[in-house]
Amino acid sequence: MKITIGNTTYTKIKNLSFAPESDLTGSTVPIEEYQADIITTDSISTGQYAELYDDADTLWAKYWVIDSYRVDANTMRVICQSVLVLLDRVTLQGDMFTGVTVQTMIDSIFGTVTSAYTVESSIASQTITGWCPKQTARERLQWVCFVAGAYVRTAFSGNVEIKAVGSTATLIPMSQTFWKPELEYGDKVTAVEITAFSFVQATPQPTDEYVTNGMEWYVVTRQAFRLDNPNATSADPENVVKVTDCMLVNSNNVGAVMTHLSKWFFNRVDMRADIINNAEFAPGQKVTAYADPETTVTGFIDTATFTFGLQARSTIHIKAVEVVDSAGLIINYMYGQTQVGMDRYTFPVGYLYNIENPYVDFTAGSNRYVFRPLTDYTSGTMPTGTKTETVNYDVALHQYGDTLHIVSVYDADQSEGTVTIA
Amino acid sequence: MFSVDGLSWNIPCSIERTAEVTPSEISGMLLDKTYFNDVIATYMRYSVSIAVPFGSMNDYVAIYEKLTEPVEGHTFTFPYNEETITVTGRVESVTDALFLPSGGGQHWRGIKFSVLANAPTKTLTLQQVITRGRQPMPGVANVTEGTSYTYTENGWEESTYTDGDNISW
Repeated sequence: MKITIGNTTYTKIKNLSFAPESDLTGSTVPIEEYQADIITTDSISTGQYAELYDDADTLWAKYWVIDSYRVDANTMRVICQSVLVLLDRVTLQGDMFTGVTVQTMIDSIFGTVTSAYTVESSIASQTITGWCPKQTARERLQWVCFVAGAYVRTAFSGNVEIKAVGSTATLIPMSQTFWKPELEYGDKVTAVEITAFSFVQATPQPTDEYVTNGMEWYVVTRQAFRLDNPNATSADPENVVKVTDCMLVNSNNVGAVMTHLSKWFFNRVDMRADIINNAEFAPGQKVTAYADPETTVTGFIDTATFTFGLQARSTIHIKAVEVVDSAGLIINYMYGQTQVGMDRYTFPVGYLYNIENPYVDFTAGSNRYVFRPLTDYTSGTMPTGTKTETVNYDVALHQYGDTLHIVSVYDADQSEGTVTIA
Repeated sequence: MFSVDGLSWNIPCSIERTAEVTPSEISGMLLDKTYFNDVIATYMRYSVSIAVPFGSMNDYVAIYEKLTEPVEGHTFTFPYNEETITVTGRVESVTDALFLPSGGGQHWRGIKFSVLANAPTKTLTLQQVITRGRQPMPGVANVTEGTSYTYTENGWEESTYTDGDNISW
């Protein structure tokens, strides 16, 4: 891993810690950070960007140095947080919004702080109607995300990304999952209760709740809406999640907001797993993962804590876990009527697999054969129940004693002058 | 024969080398029951045992004082296969023994030390590890279908195919 600050890239790094997270409920907007010890005699000042890259030059984070101090003669410690920390330092005035798009709201929230942000189109076109009090830009961002069903991601990107909760799951392969994930069970939530607001421009009476931006006065009316957990019974102790103070919730969007929250609060099964993660899986992503070699689950990553070697490993926390059926795929590698190899996979039902067919090394007595596949990939959709596929092979190389015979070659490689074998 | 920081001595010694293929702390057992071995790089460790004839105590003391300097590392040159390798490495400790023969007198003998290289001798980049798949066949240029090659001391050379009937399935 390496850190680039201004024009200097520091490659001697120790004690790097990075644990990005996203709050999918939209109830908070976490400020993510990474910390590192850099072996250098340079003095690193705060108030500038520090980009974290891996050795394959993939950007992991572009965060703001908020603290830096010298640990010893050769070591500087830096603490860097996402740009959201700068939003915490900006105060926005209270105002009424009527039919303003999320894009416009986000533009005014980021304002002069930075232009390095993106808003997913399905979120950007939603409209906001309601009141925001005088609050920090970060709080206002959280209110907007809450009603729009969006979350914020800053990891693996040079931008702050405001995204919709995904619907397509990416598979975390078994070959990238460590032994062994753990399922966790939270307390059952019996209902979600949200207060919706409506505003009438009028002179408030002494007993009325009102809001004002200094020029107009609005009388506030509150109405509580409740969504019960269909899986809760009267035997379950009352455990209600309440949101009572987001004044951007109105009677038009309260249904969608409650449905969105119910996704997280009515499913309290979580999973914790360790995976090999080279900037592939980020918080907020919908994933399919293996709870054990025979069980596949879907869910959403909300935190990922990294440790680093040559590659990177992260402990991920997956929320709203649902078990999905899985089935076995067997691929037989055949040379005519003779079997020369086989691979087995367990995939979730409905998964679109696309597996590269390997070269097969096969020794019979004192003959060694390398077989090449006649098709490059095996693809399909995983059905319920075991599926068997066949891939046909031809002999590429045949070695007997000291002699190697080139039997057949993949055309494109011939002009390069080398034969590649597994 | 070896050298330390450019200085070398013509003294008998035995040298043992160990190539440490060093994994990182994130290695571990995967769910598909294979072991994920996250190798950072290969580092050379050389263990040297010096047998110094009695006559060259000056050389012996010079070596001992050089190796025991409290520095981060020294530049060593050691034999490696048919050639030599230069590593900057750290000496963790230097041991020898005082021999007191029955006829009187005393002398130090038998310096043993171990050097572990600070920088790797072999390493793969992250991109190589991730995309590593097929290895190229070494040393063959202009391969064509139907040709046979025999491996000789010069590498792979064209030859006549001599098998055909010995294939057994």
